[in-house]
Amino acid sequence: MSALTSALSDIFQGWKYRSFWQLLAWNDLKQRFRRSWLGVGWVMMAFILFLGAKLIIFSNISKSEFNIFAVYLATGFAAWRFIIGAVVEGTNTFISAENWIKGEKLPMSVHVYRSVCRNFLLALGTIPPVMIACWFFMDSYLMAWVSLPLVILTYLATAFWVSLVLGALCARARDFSHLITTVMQIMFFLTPIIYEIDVLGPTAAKYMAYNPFVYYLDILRIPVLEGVIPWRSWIIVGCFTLVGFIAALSSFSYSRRRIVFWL
Amino acid sequence: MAYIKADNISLVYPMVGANARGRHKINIGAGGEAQVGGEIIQTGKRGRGVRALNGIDLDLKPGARLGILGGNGSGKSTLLRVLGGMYKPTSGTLDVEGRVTGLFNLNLGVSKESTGYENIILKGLMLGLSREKIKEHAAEIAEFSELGEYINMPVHTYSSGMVMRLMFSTATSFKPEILLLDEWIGTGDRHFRDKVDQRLNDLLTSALIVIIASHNRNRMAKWANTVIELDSGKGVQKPIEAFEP
Repeated sequence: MSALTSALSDIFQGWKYRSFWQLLAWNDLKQRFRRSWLGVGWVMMAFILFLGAKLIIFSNISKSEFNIFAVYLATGFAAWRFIIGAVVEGTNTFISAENWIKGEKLPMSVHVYRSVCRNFLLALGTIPPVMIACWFFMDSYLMAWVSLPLVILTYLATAFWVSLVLGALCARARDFSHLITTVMQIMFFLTPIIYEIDVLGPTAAKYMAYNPFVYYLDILRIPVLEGVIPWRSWIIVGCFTLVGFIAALSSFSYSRRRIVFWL
Repeated sequence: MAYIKADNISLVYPMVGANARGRHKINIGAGGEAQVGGEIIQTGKRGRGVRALNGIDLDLKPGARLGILGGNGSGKSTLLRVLGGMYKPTSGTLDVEGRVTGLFNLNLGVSKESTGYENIILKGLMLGLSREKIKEHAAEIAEFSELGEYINMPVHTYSSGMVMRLMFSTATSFKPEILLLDEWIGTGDRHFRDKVDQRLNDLLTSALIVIIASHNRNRMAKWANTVIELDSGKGVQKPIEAFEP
Protein backbone atom coordinates (compact mmCIF):
# COMPACT_ATOMS: atom_id res chain seq x y z
CA MET A 1 0.00 0.00 0.00
CA SER A 2 1.29 3.41 -0.85
CA ALA A 3 1.67 5.98 1.91
CA LEU A 4 -1.31 7.92 0.58
CA THR A 5 -3.74 5.01 0.59
CA SER A 6 -2.48 4.03 4.05
CA ALA A 7 -3.17 7.56 5.23
CA LEU A 8 -6.68 7.47 3.78
CA SER A 9 -7.34 4.06 5.26
CA ASP A 10 -6.10 5.33 8.63
CA ILE A 11 -8.68 8.13 8.50
CA PHE A 12 -11.48 5.67 7.68
CA GLN A 13 -10.33 3.20 10.33
CA GLY A 14 -10.19 6.01 12.87
CA TRP A 15 -13.85 6.80 12.29
CA LYS A 16 -14.74 3.25 13.37
CA TYR A 17 -13.30 4.02 16.79
CA ARG A 18 -15.81 6.80 17.34
CA SER A 19 -17.26 5.47 20.58
CA PHE A 20 -13.68 5.37 21.90
CA TRP A 21 -12.62 8.90 20.93
CA GLN A 22 -15.97 10.38 21.86
CA LEU A 23 -15.50 9.10 25.39
CA LEU A 24 -11.91 10.34 25.47
CA ALA A 25 -13.03 13.79 24.32
CA TRP A 26 -15.74 13.86 26.95
CA ASN A 27 -13.25 12.78 29.61
CA ASP A 28 -10.95 15.61 28.49
CA LEU A 29 -13.70 18.10 29.19
CA LYS A 30 -14.61 16.57 32.51
CA GLN A 31 -10.95 16.70 33.44
CA ARG A 32 -10.67 20.36 32.47
CA PHE A 33 -13.52 21.36 34.75
CA ARG A 34 -12.83 18.81 37.44
CA ARG A 35 -13.84 19.73 40.98
CA SER A 36 -15.60 22.91 39.91
CA TRP A 37 -19.19 23.30 40.96
CA LEU A 38 -20.41 24.45 37.55
CA GLY A 39 -18.35 21.81 35.77
CA VAL A 40 -18.74 21.82 32.01
CA GLY A 41 -21.26 24.64 32.52
CA TRP A 42 -18.24 26.93 32.72
CA VAL A 43 -17.95 26.79 28.94
CA MET A 44 -21.26 28.60 28.65
CA MET A 45 -20.69 30.82 31.65
CA ALA A 46 -17.29 32.03 30.42
CA PHE A 47 -18.76 32.76 27.03
CA ILE A 48 -21.68 34.75 28.44
CA LEU A 49 -19.43 36.80 30.73
CA PHE A 50 -16.98 37.58 27.91
CA LEU A 51 -19.77 38.43 25.54
CA GLY A 52 -21.48 40.71 28.08
CA ALA A 53 -18.28 42.55 28.90
CA LYS A 54 -17.31 43.01 25.26
CA LEU A 55 -20.78 44.17 24.39
CA ILE A 56 -20.71 46.88 27.04
CA ILE A 57 -17.25 48.10 26.07
CA PHE A 58 -17.29 47.87 22.30
CA SER A 59 -20.88 48.74 21.44
CA ASN A 60 -19.87 52.40 21.89
CA ILE A 61 -17.33 52.17 19.10
CA SER A 62 -19.74 50.51 16.72
CA LYS A 63 -21.71 52.64 14.30
CA SER A 64 -24.47 50.04 14.08
CA GLU A 65 -27.49 49.83 16.27
CA PHE A 66 -26.93 48.12 19.59
CA ASN A 67 -29.19 45.18 18.66
CA ILE A 68 -27.41 44.48 15.42
CA PHE A 69 -24.01 44.82 17.03
CA ALA A 70 -25.00 42.40 19.79
CA VAL A 71 -25.82 39.69 17.25
CA TYR A 72 -22.73 40.56 15.20
CA LEU A 73 -20.52 40.17 18.25
CA ALA A 74 -22.22 37.02 19.57
CA THR A 75 -21.96 35.12 16.29
CA GLY A 76 -18.47 36.38 15.50
CA PHE A 77 -17.14 35.66 18.94
CA ALA A 78 -18.66 32.15 19.04
CA ALA A 79 -17.11 31.37 15.64
CA TRP A 80 -13.77 32.74 16.79
CA ARG A 81 -13.85 30.64 19.95
CA PHE A 82 -14.21 27.55 17.82
CA ILE A 83 -11.52 28.61 15.35
CA ILE A 84 -8.96 29.48 17.99
CA GLY A 85 -9.72 26.27 19.87
CA ALA A 86 -9.30 24.18 16.73
CA VAL A 87 -6.02 25.85 15.78
CA VAL A 88 -4.37 26.14 19.19
CA GLU A 89 -5.42 22.71 20.42
CA GLY A 90 -4.75 21.33 16.97
CA THR A 91 -1.07 22.03 17.55
CA ASN A 92 -1.24 19.64 20.52
CA THR A 93 -3.21 16.88 18.82
CA PHE A 94 -0.46 14.27 18.91
CA ILE A 95 1.73 15.70 21.67
CA SER A 96 -1.06 15.40 24.22
CA ALA A 97 -1.94 11.88 23.03
CA GLU A 98 1.56 10.53 23.65
CA ASN A 99 0.47 7.92 26.20
CA TRP A 100 -2.03 6.43 23.75
CA ILE A 101 0.23 6.63 20.71
CA LYS A 102 3.07 4.82 22.48
CA GLY A 103 0.85 2.44 24.40
CA GLU A 104 -1.73 1.14 21.95
CA LYS A 105 -1.85 0.36 18.29
CA LEU A 106 -4.52 2.76 17.11
CA PRO A 107 -5.10 4.58 13.84
CA MET A 108 -3.34 7.95 14.19
CA SER A 109 -6.48 9.75 13.06
CA VAL A 110 -8.18 8.68 16.30
CA HIS A 111 -6.29 11.45 18.07
CA VAL A 112 -7.38 13.97 15.47
CA TYR A 113 -11.02 12.99 15.81
CA ARG A 114 -10.67 13.25 19.56
CA SER A 115 -9.33 16.79 19.32
CA VAL A 116 -12.06 17.87 16.87
CA CYS A 117 -14.73 16.22 18.98
CA ARG A 118 -13.52 18.00 22.11
CA ASN A 119 -13.69 21.34 20.33
CA PHE A 120 -17.13 20.54 19.02
CA LEU A 121 -18.37 19.75 22.53
CA LEU A 122 -16.90 23.03 23.76
CA ALA A 123 -18.62 24.87 20.93
CA LEU A 124 -21.96 23.31 21.90
CA GLY A 125 -21.71 25.34 25.09
CA THR A 126 -21.58 28.59 23.14
CA ILE A 127 -24.51 27.84 20.84
CA PRO A 128 -27.39 28.43 23.32
CA PRO A 129 -26.22 31.94 24.34
CA VAL A 130 -25.79 32.88 20.68
CA MET A 131 -29.24 31.54 19.83
CA ILE A 132 -30.77 33.47 22.70
CA ALA A 133 -28.97 36.65 21.67
CA CYS A 134 -30.20 36.27 18.09
CA TRP A 135 -33.74 35.57 19.15
CA PHE A 136 -33.78 38.41 21.66
CA PHE A 137 -32.20 41.14 19.56
CA MET A 138 -33.52 40.58 16.06
CA ASP A 139 -35.86 38.64 13.81
CA SER A 140 -34.18 35.55 12.46
CA TYR A 141 -33.79 34.96 8.76
CA LEU A 142 -34.65 31.68 7.09
CA MET A 143 -31.29 31.66 5.29
CA ALA A 144 -29.46 31.56 8.61
CA TRP A 145 -31.18 28.30 9.53
CA VAL A 146 -30.79 26.83 6.09
CA SER A 147 -27.04 27.38 5.94
CA LEU A 148 -26.25 26.59 9.59
CA PRO A 149 -25.76 22.81 9.21
CA LEU A 150 -23.37 23.32 6.32
CA VAL A 151 -21.49 25.99 8.27
CA ILE A 152 -21.03 23.64 11.22
CA LEU A 153 -19.92 20.85 8.92
CA THR A 154 -17.41 23.15 7.23
CA TYR A 155 -16.05 24.26 10.59
CA LEU A 156 -15.61 20.64 11.70
CA ALA A 157 -13.93 19.68 8.43
CA THR A 158 -11.61 22.65 8.83
CA ALA A 159 -10.77 21.69 12.40
CA PHE A 160 -9.98 18.19 11.13
CA TRP A 161 -7.44 19.12 8.47
CA VAL A 162 -5.95 21.87 10.61
CA SER A 163 -5.36 19.43 13.49
CA LEU A 164 -3.90 16.89 11.12
CA VAL A 165 -1.41 19.36 9.63
CA LEU A 166 -0.55 21.35 12.75
CA GLY A 167 -0.56 18.32 15.03
CA ALA A 168 2.20 16.65 13.04
CA LEU A 169 4.12 19.86 12.35
CA CYS A 170 4.18 20.89 15.99
CA ALA A 171 5.11 17.40 17.19
CA ARG A 172 8.19 17.56 14.97
CA ALA A 173 9.12 21.23 15.37
CA ARG A 174 7.89 22.42 18.74
CA ASP A 175 8.56 26.11 18.03
CA PHE A 176 5.51 26.21 15.84
CA SER A 177 3.16 25.63 18.80
CA HIS A 178 4.36 28.83 20.41
CA LEU A 179 4.45 30.73 17.15
CA ILE A 180 0.94 29.71 16.18
CA THR A 181 -0.50 30.50 19.60
CA THR A 182 1.03 33.96 19.41
CA VAL A 183 -0.09 34.54 15.84
CA MET A 184 -3.65 33.57 16.75
CA GLN A 185 -3.68 36.12 19.57
CA ILE A 186 -2.63 38.78 17.08
CA MET A 187 -5.23 37.58 14.57
CA PHE A 188 -7.97 38.17 17.10
CA PHE A 189 -7.27 41.89 16.80
CA LEU A 190 -6.77 41.79 13.04
CA THR A 191 -10.10 40.06 12.48
CA PRO A 192 -13.37 41.98 12.64
CA ILE A 193 -14.94 40.39 15.71
CA ILE A 194 -15.17 43.08 18.34
CA TYR A 195 -15.36 45.83 15.71
CA GLU A 196 -16.85 46.13 12.26
CA ILE A 197 -14.65 46.46 9.19
CA ASP A 198 -15.83 49.96 8.27
CA VAL A 199 -14.63 51.30 11.62
CA LEU A 200 -11.08 50.91 10.32
CA GLY A 201 -11.43 53.27 7.38
CA PRO A 202 -11.03 52.39 3.69
CA THR A 203 -7.27 51.67 3.59
CA ALA A 204 -7.17 49.23 6.47
CA ALA A 205 -10.42 47.60 5.38
CA LYS A 206 -8.80 46.78 2.03
CA TYR A 207 -6.28 44.53 3.77
CA MET A 208 -9.06 42.52 5.37
CA ALA A 209 -9.50 40.77 2.04
CA TYR A 210 -6.23 38.96 2.80
CA ASN A 211 -7.40 37.64 6.16
CA PRO A 212 -8.85 34.15 5.61
CA PHE A 213 -10.66 34.21 8.94
CA VAL A 214 -12.93 36.97 7.63
CA TYR A 215 -14.47 34.55 5.14
CA TYR A 216 -14.95 31.85 7.75
CA LEU A 217 -16.79 34.37 9.92
CA ASP A 218 -18.83 35.64 6.97
CA ILE A 219 -20.39 32.28 6.18
CA LEU A 220 -21.86 32.16 9.67
CA ARG A 221 -22.51 35.83 10.33
CA ILE A 222 -23.91 37.26 7.11
CA PRO A 223 -26.92 34.90 6.82
CA VAL A 224 -27.81 35.70 10.42
CA LEU A 225 -27.42 39.46 10.07
CA GLU A 226 -28.58 40.07 6.51
CA GLY A 227 -30.48 36.95 5.52
CA VAL A 228 -28.39 36.30 2.41
CA ILE A 229 -25.83 33.65 1.53
CA PRO A 230 -22.35 35.14 1.04
CA TRP A 231 -21.45 33.17 -2.07
CA ARG A 232 -18.04 34.76 -2.57
CA SER A 233 -16.96 33.87 0.96
CA TRP A 234 -18.32 30.34 0.54
CA ILE A 235 -16.26 29.85 -2.62
CA ILE A 236 -13.11 31.07 -0.89
CA VAL A 237 -13.78 28.88 2.16
CA GLY A 238 -14.46 25.95 -0.17
CA CYS A 239 -11.10 26.48 -1.88
CA PHE A 240 -9.33 26.69 1.47
CA THR A 241 -10.99 23.46 2.58
CA LEU A 242 -9.99 21.66 -0.59
CA VAL A 243 -6.39 22.88 -0.48
CA GLY A 244 -6.32 22.17 3.25
CA PHE A 245 -7.38 18.57 2.79
CA ILE A 246 -4.82 18.00 0.05
CA ALA A 247 -2.13 19.47 2.29
CA ALA A 248 -3.36 17.41 5.24
CA LEU A 249 -3.37 14.17 3.27
CA SER A 250 0.09 14.67 1.87
CA SER A 251 1.56 15.72 5.21
CA PHE A 252 -0.21 12.84 6.97
CA SER A 253 1.12 10.35 4.41
CA TYR A 254 4.59 11.49 5.39
CA SER A 255 4.10 11.89 9.12
CA ARG A 256 1.79 9.02 10.06
CA ARG A 257 4.41 6.41 10.93
CA ARG A 258 6.97 8.99 12.07
CA ILE A 259 4.95 10.89 14.66
CA VAL A 260 5.62 8.28 17.33
CA PHE A 261 9.36 9.01 17.05
CA TRP A 262 8.80 12.74 17.46
CA LEU A 263 7.03 12.49 20.80
CA MET B 1 -4.41 -18.53 14.09
CA ALA B 2 -2.03 -16.08 15.68
CA TYR B 3 1.57 -15.94 14.57
CA ILE B 4 4.54 -13.60 14.38
CA LYS B 5 7.08 -13.76 11.62
CA ALA B 6 9.88 -11.23 11.62
CA ASP B 7 12.47 -11.28 8.90
CA ASN B 8 15.65 -9.28 9.35
CA ILE B 9 13.96 -6.31 11.03
CA SER B 10 15.93 -3.26 12.04
CA LEU B 11 14.86 -0.05 13.68
CA VAL B 12 16.62 3.29 13.72
CA TYR B 13 15.33 5.97 16.09
CA PRO B 14 15.74 9.37 14.53
CA MET B 15 17.30 11.78 17.02
CA VAL B 16 14.90 14.66 17.27
CA GLY B 17 15.98 17.59 19.39
CA ALA B 18 19.07 15.96 20.93
CA ASN B 19 20.80 16.02 17.56
CA ALA B 20 24.15 17.16 16.29
CA ARG B 21 23.17 20.81 16.20
CA GLY B 22 23.28 20.99 19.98
CA ARG B 23 26.14 22.36 22.03
CA HIS B 24 27.74 18.98 22.31
CA LYS B 25 28.29 17.30 19.01
CA ILE B 26 27.25 13.68 19.17
CA ASN B 27 29.84 11.42 17.59
CA ILE B 28 28.96 8.53 15.39
CA GLY B 29 29.91 5.04 16.56
CA ALA B 30 29.04 2.54 19.21
CA GLY B 31 28.39 5.26 21.77
CA GLY B 32 32.07 5.69 22.63
CA GLU B 33 32.72 4.38 26.13
CA ALA B 34 29.04 3.52 26.53
CA GLN B 35 28.22 -0.01 27.60
CA VAL B 36 24.54 0.58 26.89
CA GLY B 37 22.31 1.52 23.99
CA GLY B 38 22.35 0.88 20.28
CA GLU B 39 24.89 2.14 17.81
CA ILE B 40 24.74 5.85 17.01
CA ILE B 41 24.69 6.27 13.27
CA GLN B 42 24.43 9.03 10.73
CA THR B 43 21.05 9.40 9.06
CA GLY B 44 20.75 11.59 6.01
CA LYS B 45 23.17 14.47 5.63
CA ARG B 46 23.47 15.79 9.17
CA GLY B 47 21.06 13.81 11.30
CA ARG B 48 21.89 11.24 13.94
CA GLY B 49 20.00 8.12 14.78
CA VAL B 50 20.21 5.21 17.17
CA ARG B 51 20.11 1.76 15.67
CA ALA B 52 18.07 0.05 18.36
CA LEU B 53 17.37 -3.18 16.47
CA ASN B 54 19.67 -4.73 13.95
CA GLY B 55 18.56 -7.67 11.83
CA ILE B 56 16.17 -9.54 14.12
CA ASP B 57 14.46 -12.73 12.97
CA LEU B 58 11.57 -14.22 14.91
CA ASP B 59 9.21 -17.07 14.27
CA LEU B 60 6.44 -17.55 16.84
CA LYS B 61 3.39 -19.78 16.74
CA PRO B 62 0.53 -20.20 19.24
CA GLY B 63 1.78 -21.52 22.54
CA ALA B 64 5.08 -19.71 22.19
CA ARG B 65 6.44 -18.05 25.30
CA LEU B 66 9.25 -15.82 24.19
CA GLY B 67 11.62 -14.30 26.71
CA ILE B 68 13.52 -11.21 25.59
CA LEU B 69 16.71 -10.74 27.58
CA GLY B 70 19.51 -8.23 27.43
CA GLY B 71 21.17 -5.39 29.29
CA ASN B 72 19.96 -1.81 29.59
CA GLY B 73 19.38 -0.25 26.22
CA SER B 74 19.88 -3.50 24.35
CA GLY B 75 16.58 -3.09 22.49
CA LYS B 76 14.13 -5.17 24.55
CA SER B 77 11.40 -2.56 24.87
CA THR B 78 11.93 -1.40 21.31
CA LEU B 79 11.42 -4.94 20.05
CA LEU B 80 8.23 -5.25 22.10
CA ARG B 81 6.87 -2.05 20.62
CA VAL B 82 7.76 -3.05 17.10
CA LEU B 83 5.87 -6.30 17.65
CA GLY B 84 3.01 -4.30 19.16
CA GLY B 85 2.77 -2.21 16.02
CA MET B 86 3.63 1.15 17.58
CA TYR B 87 6.92 1.43 15.73
CA LYS B 88 7.25 0.50 12.12
CA PRO B 89 10.57 -1.25 11.42
CA THR B 90 13.01 0.84 9.41
CA SER B 91 13.81 -2.21 7.29
CA GLY B 92 12.92 -5.87 7.08
CA THR B 93 9.49 -7.46 7.00
CA LEU B 94 7.21 -8.09 9.93
CA ASP B 95 4.06 -10.15 9.71
CA VAL B 96 1.86 -10.18 12.82
CA GLU B 97 -1.43 -12.02 12.77
CA GLY B 98 -3.73 -11.82 15.78
CA ARG B 99 -4.92 -9.21 18.23
CA VAL B 100 -2.00 -7.75 20.14
CA THR B 101 -2.16 -6.27 23.62
CA GLY B 102 0.90 -4.73 25.16
CA LEU B 103 1.68 -3.69 28.71
CA PHE B 104 4.75 -1.53 28.34
CA ASN B 105 4.84 0.78 31.28
CA LEU B 106 2.47 2.24 33.80
CA ASN B 107 2.06 5.56 31.98
CA LEU B 108 1.11 4.25 28.59
CA GLY B 109 -2.33 3.36 27.37
CA VAL B 110 -4.02 4.49 30.54
CA SER B 111 -5.91 7.67 31.31
CA LYS B 112 -4.65 8.71 34.74
CA GLU B 113 -7.44 11.18 35.46
CA SER B 114 -10.15 8.65 34.70
CA THR B 115 -11.22 6.00 37.17
CA GLY B 116 -10.19 2.39 36.86
CA TYR B 117 -13.68 1.56 35.70
CA GLU B 118 -13.62 4.27 33.01
CA ASN B 119 -10.31 2.93 31.80
CA ILE B 120 -11.82 -0.51 31.42
CA ILE B 121 -14.65 1.03 29.38
CA LEU B 122 -12.10 2.83 27.19
CA LYS B 123 -10.20 -0.38 26.49
CA GLY B 124 -13.39 -2.24 25.73
CA LEU B 125 -14.64 0.45 23.35
CA MET B 126 -11.27 0.38 21.66
CA LEU B 127 -11.87 -3.28 20.90
CA GLY B 128 -15.30 -2.47 19.56
CA LEU B 129 -17.24 -4.20 22.33
CA SER B 130 -20.71 -3.16 23.46
CA ARG B 131 -21.20 -1.42 26.81
CA GLU B 132 -23.05 -4.46 28.22
CA LYS B 133 -20.26 -6.79 27.26
CA ILE B 134 -17.69 -4.42 28.77
CA LYS B 135 -19.65 -4.32 32.03
CA GLU B 136 -19.36 -8.08 32.33
CA HIS B 137 -15.63 -7.80 31.84
CA ALA B 138 -15.43 -4.94 34.34
CA ALA B 139 -16.93 -7.08 37.07
CA GLU B 140 -14.45 -9.84 36.38
CA ILE B 141 -11.54 -7.39 36.21
CA ALA B 142 -12.52 -5.77 39.51
CA GLU B 143 -12.57 -9.18 41.14
CA PHE B 144 -9.31 -10.46 39.69
CA SER B 145 -7.41 -7.24 40.38
CA GLU B 146 -8.81 -7.13 43.95
CA LEU B 147 -9.07 -3.36 43.62
CA GLY B 148 -12.48 -3.20 45.30
CA GLU B 149 -13.75 0.34 45.77
CA TYR B 150 -10.60 1.72 44.12
CA ILE B 151 -11.98 0.68 40.75
CA ASN B 152 -14.24 3.76 41.00
CA MET B 153 -11.41 6.10 41.92
CA PRO B 154 -9.10 7.99 39.54
CA VAL B 155 -6.03 6.02 38.52
CA HIS B 156 -3.70 8.77 39.75
CA THR B 157 -4.72 7.80 43.29
CA TYR B 158 -3.33 4.28 42.77
CA SER B 159 0.06 2.98 43.79
CA SER B 160 2.17 1.63 40.92
CA GLY B 161 1.37 -1.94 41.97
CA MET B 162 -2.33 -1.12 41.83
CA VAL B 163 -2.02 0.42 38.37
CA MET B 164 -0.25 -2.73 37.27
CA ARG B 165 -3.02 -4.88 38.72
CA LEU B 166 -5.61 -2.88 36.81
CA MET B 167 -3.69 -2.96 33.55
CA PHE B 168 -2.78 -6.62 33.70
CA SER B 169 -6.29 -7.70 34.68
CA THR B 170 -7.85 -5.57 31.95
CA ALA B 171 -5.44 -6.68 29.24
CA THR B 172 -5.86 -10.36 29.97
CA SER B 173 -9.61 -10.18 30.54
CA PHE B 174 -10.21 -9.08 26.97
CA LYS B 175 -8.51 -12.26 25.72
CA PRO B 176 -5.70 -11.06 23.49
CA GLU B 177 -4.08 -13.46 21.05
CA ILE B 178 -0.65 -11.98 21.50
CA LEU B 179 0.37 -10.53 24.85
CA LEU B 180 3.42 -8.32 25.26
CA LEU B 181 4.74 -7.62 28.74
CA ASP B 182 7.58 -5.36 29.78
CA GLU B 183 9.66 -5.80 32.90
CA TRP B 184 7.33 -4.00 35.28
CA ILE B 185 5.27 -7.08 35.96
CA GLY B 186 7.58 -7.35 38.97
CA THR B 187 5.84 -4.45 40.75
CA GLY B 188 3.11 -6.80 41.85
CA ASP B 189 3.32 -8.23 45.36
CA ARG B 190 3.96 -11.93 45.83
CA HIS B 191 0.32 -12.81 46.17
CA PHE B 192 -0.57 -11.10 42.91
CA ARG B 193 2.49 -12.46 41.13
CA ASP B 194 1.19 -15.95 41.75
CA LYS B 195 -2.14 -14.94 40.25
CA VAL B 196 -0.31 -13.50 37.24
CA ASP B 197 1.56 -16.75 36.69
CA GLN B 198 -1.64 -18.72 37.05
CA ARG B 199 -3.45 -16.55 34.55
CA LEU B 200 -0.61 -16.64 32.05
CA ASN B 201 -0.69 -20.40 32.22
CA ASP B 202 -4.45 -20.44 31.71
CA LEU B 203 -4.13 -18.14 28.74
CA LEU B 204 -1.37 -20.18 27.20
CA THR B 205 -3.58 -23.20 27.05
CA SER B 206 -5.91 -21.10 24.89
CA ALA B 207 -3.16 -20.91 22.27
CA LEU B 208 -1.78 -17.53 23.02
CA ILE B 209 1.60 -16.07 22.20
CA VAL B 210 3.18 -14.39 25.22
CA ILE B 211 6.31 -12.29 25.01
CA ILE B 212 8.04 -10.94 28.08
CA ALA B 213 11.05 -8.68 28.26
CA SER B 214 12.93 -9.17 31.49
CA HIS B 215 16.25 -9.16 33.34
CA ASN B 216 15.26 -12.07 35.51
CA ARG B 217 17.16 -14.93 33.92
CA ASN B 218 16.21 -17.58 36.45
CA ARG B 219 12.53 -16.89 36.20
CA MET B 220 12.80 -16.77 32.45
CA ALA B 221 14.51 -20.16 32.37
CA LYS B 222 11.52 -21.64 34.16
CA TRP B 223 8.84 -19.83 32.24
CA ALA B 224 9.88 -19.38 28.60
CA ASN B 225 10.06 -21.98 25.88
CA THR B 226 12.13 -19.82 23.54
CA VAL B 227 14.41 -16.85 24.16
CA ILE B 228 16.22 -14.09 22.37
CA GLU B 229 19.19 -12.39 24.00
CA LEU B 230 19.78 -8.88 22.70
CA ASP B 231 23.03 -6.99 22.65
CA SER B 232 23.11 -3.59 20.93
CA GLY B 233 20.00 -4.57 19.03
CA LYS B 234 21.37 -7.86 17.78
CA GLY B 235 20.30 -11.32 18.79
CA VAL B 236 19.17 -14.71 17.63
CA GLN B 237 16.06 -16.57 18.70
CA LYS B 238 16.87 -19.92 20.18
CA PRO B 239 15.05 -22.72 22.00
CA ILE B 240 15.07 -22.70 25.80
CA GLU B 241 17.37 -25.74 25.85
CA ALA B 242 20.14 -23.60 24.41
CA PHE B 243 19.73 -20.95 27.14
CA GLU B 244 22.03 -20.70 30.11
CA PRO B 245 20.52 -18.76 33.01
